[in-house]
Amino acid sequence: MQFRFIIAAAAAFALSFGGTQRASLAFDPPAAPPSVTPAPLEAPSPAASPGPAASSPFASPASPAPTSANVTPSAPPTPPTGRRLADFKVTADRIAFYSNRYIMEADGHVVVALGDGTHIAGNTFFYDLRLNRFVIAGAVRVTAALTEVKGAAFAEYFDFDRAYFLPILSQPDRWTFVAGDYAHPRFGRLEPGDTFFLPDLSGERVFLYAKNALVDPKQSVRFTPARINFGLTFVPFPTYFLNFSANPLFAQNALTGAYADGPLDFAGGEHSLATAHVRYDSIDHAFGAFELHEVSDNSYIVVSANPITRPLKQYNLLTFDRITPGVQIQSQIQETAFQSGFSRPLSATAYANVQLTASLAHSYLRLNDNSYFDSLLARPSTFGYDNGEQVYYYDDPTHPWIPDHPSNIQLTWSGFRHQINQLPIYFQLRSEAGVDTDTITPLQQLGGVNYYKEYDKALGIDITTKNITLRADPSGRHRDIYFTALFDRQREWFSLPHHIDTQVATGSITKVFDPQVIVLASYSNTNTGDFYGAQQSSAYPGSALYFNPFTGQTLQVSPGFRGFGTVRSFAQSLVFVPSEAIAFTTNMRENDDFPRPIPGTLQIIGDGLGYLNYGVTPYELDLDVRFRISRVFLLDVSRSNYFGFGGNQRWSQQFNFQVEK
Amino acid sequence: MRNGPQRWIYVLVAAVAVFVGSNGSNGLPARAASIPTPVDSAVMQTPPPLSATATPSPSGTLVKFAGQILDYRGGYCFFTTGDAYRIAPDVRIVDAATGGPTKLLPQTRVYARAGFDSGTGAIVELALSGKKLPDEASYQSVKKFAVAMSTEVPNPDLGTGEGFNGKPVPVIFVVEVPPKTPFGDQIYLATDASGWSATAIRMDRIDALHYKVTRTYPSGTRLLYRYTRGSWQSADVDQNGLAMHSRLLLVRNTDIQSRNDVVYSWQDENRFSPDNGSALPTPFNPVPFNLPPHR
Repeated sequence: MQFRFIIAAAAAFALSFGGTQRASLAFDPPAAPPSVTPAPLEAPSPAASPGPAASSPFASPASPAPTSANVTPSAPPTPPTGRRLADFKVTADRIAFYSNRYIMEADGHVVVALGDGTHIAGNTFFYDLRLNRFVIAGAVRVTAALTEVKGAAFAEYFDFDRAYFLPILSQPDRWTFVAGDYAHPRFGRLEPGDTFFLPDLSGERVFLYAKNALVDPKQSVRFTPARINFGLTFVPFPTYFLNFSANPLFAQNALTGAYADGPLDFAGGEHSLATAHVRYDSIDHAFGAFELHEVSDNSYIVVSANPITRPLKQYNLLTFDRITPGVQIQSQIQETAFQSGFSRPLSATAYANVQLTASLAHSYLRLNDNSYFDSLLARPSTFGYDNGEQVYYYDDPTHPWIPDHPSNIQLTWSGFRHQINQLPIYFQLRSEAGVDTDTITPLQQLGGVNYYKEYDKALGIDITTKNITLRADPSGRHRDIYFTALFDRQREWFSLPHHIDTQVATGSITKVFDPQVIVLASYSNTNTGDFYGAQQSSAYPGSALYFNPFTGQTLQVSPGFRGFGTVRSFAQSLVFVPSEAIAFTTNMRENDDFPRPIPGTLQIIGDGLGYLNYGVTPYELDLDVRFRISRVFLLDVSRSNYFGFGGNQRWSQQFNFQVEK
Repeated sequence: MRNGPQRWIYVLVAAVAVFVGSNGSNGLPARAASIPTPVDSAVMQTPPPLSATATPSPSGTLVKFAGQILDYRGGYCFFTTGDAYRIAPDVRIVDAATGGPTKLLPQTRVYARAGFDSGTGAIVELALSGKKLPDEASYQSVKKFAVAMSTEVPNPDLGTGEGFNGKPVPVIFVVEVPPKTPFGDQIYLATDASGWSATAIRMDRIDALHYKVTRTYPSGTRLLYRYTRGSWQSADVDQNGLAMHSRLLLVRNTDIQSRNDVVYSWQDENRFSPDNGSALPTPFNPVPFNLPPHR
């Protein structure tokens, strides 16, 4: 069994391309060194740099290269110009990119062509993509306006518009160029201490090799031609586009989950990124997908098609825009189509959500709209009969025509969390008004009357506590016992005269045995009551059978159910973290609910098969062990066990091999 | 003032330097300027000291230092500190481990232990290695041998004040999550250094409301980060309901650093649907008042 997981992990690792995936379930994006303040930093002068770097100035920086500074440099003497953001090109006999460090290395006949026309040639080149600085060393020749000067090394700090050069004339010298003004070098100026340090990349994994690289500073690099490391071999590609923007909006993901995901960014720029994916899951097996990002500082559009190589396709469109500092709008539109290639779909459904949020003083308003389009296509001509009822379908009965278009719209108001006096107790208020509509299938039937539209309004409050120390450790080692509580109460009124009360009460106790070992126990009780008054028995006849109009299932409900349910959940957790390298977590949960949960059918849930249960499984045990294999590799093994439910759910297992930094 | 020959040397130096005009104000990269005439800058320099050992006299005493070679040419050996040192005509190039002959060449990236004649300041022995060599004497003891035409002048960019020395600093992230966070959910730290993966760094629960993780970064690190529950659809949002801006961490030269953050809400949190255990087959859940999941 373990071999299967190891093989799966290895295959997924190869698929991951090791470099830039951000949607993968199995793997995370390549770990990269955090961006270090890109300042011209520590001067080599011992007097000016009392730190460790000064004590061993000849030593190469440790891995990752420490970048140190005496101070953040003063503002550049000239305003920022396009020069520092201009694309530049690197050609060499061999360019290597280290995805874990976000460092590009080039060797042999290196030529760097800056955006202002300057050419710098040398033997060896290093570019730190995040620090946005490079150094080129060995037989350096700097050429501009047909003038060439030879030297030993040249370093460029784009973010600070500083370049440092070690020319060799009759003797060596130190020159500093400010704001691209090569006409007026500052002679003899002390450089930052690590200006010419060469990063130690021994032991680092090369993600790709190339001969040309076009760099858009702080945004992207296009490598051509690229040979990408697939673990066992390097596979040639005509080009590889690397996006390393610090903008988190590029990480928005419009793809559904998959066991393994291999993204290949093939086009893009400062505001866009196009990615082809090779994915795998247990339903579609290996398949292709596509995703496109259009991103600015305050907005994004993400489009995806997944899978594109199977008939059942899902198209997603995510949008977001911060209209003003206090207002944002976001939407999600999803279409699911059964189609051959990209021909006219046999059947198609859609879902749309639009959310508008506006912040107020100590609260915010949100308008939320959901719309479901159960069949986007016109009514087909083919039909059959189901229990004597005429039903239409596209081509075959597995693609039924469902004309429903349910929707709801809600306007909610949510207050901030407020502390009650100086007590460790907080409260938060909320209210809501909305309407639900379905003109085809009634939302509800009561007394023989169909209701196609329902208005509702709601009020709610939650009261929470901070950690309250029940018993302080007299030794002062903080092996304390804490108590935390949550109480939530909500009432929702409907136009069909009834109301639903929901009340949640949760209490948790944490015992710290040691900073490395904690035990947590939590008990939660949720009561939900649907109050119809005199019509209670009509709305809830207490039948043992319940027909769910949305799944078509007739379910065996606990006898005696009259619209009042209770969920009782007792959970315990043990967390043991002996070091940064090892973590062990176990969670146990027991539920005693009314109505009793009902085992569901085996259905496609997400990227695999699962049981679509009604209610919470009574018992669950989760085990998770994480072990850090190396600086960037983390092994995570987790296992979930479900007991005594449906007779067919015993355990599930996950094996996660993660790249982390 | 410089004497005549020196002055001409500097005029010549300036004349052959690389000069490119700075950008215009339109944000577009400017083209390289025509040959500049930085004579004024050059002649205003103070006379360049050749080194502290301008009149060498061999002493026979060796001072050894280990470092990495940046370049080796023109009778000089450059180290990654940016310093250039004279090479004695009869320099011995040996293997750092054995002291015997070596196949390594003194060139960029090669590690070297340089033996300086304390009298001449020149390198008389260069022991090469493909691996980093242990430190020997201090930088100060060889700094005086460095050769440069220009007088060393302070760099106003470096100024004064606190600096970063790049030492590894354990950073403890502690986050308080909303009380309604589902009990079994995992909390993750997403950072720009990990490509904003929503599951980049998993945190460990320390009590009912708090999660913690410790990561070590060199001081000077500037890290952007967010908290998630495993996806960007369940990322943290601000108390005002709007999407969060990335949180910023700047690692200082401390022995340990901690960040205490609060997540007020998650993006997928529906405050009007208390978590009462998925879809019970009842009229109040999931239909008709919470619309069904999309088929």
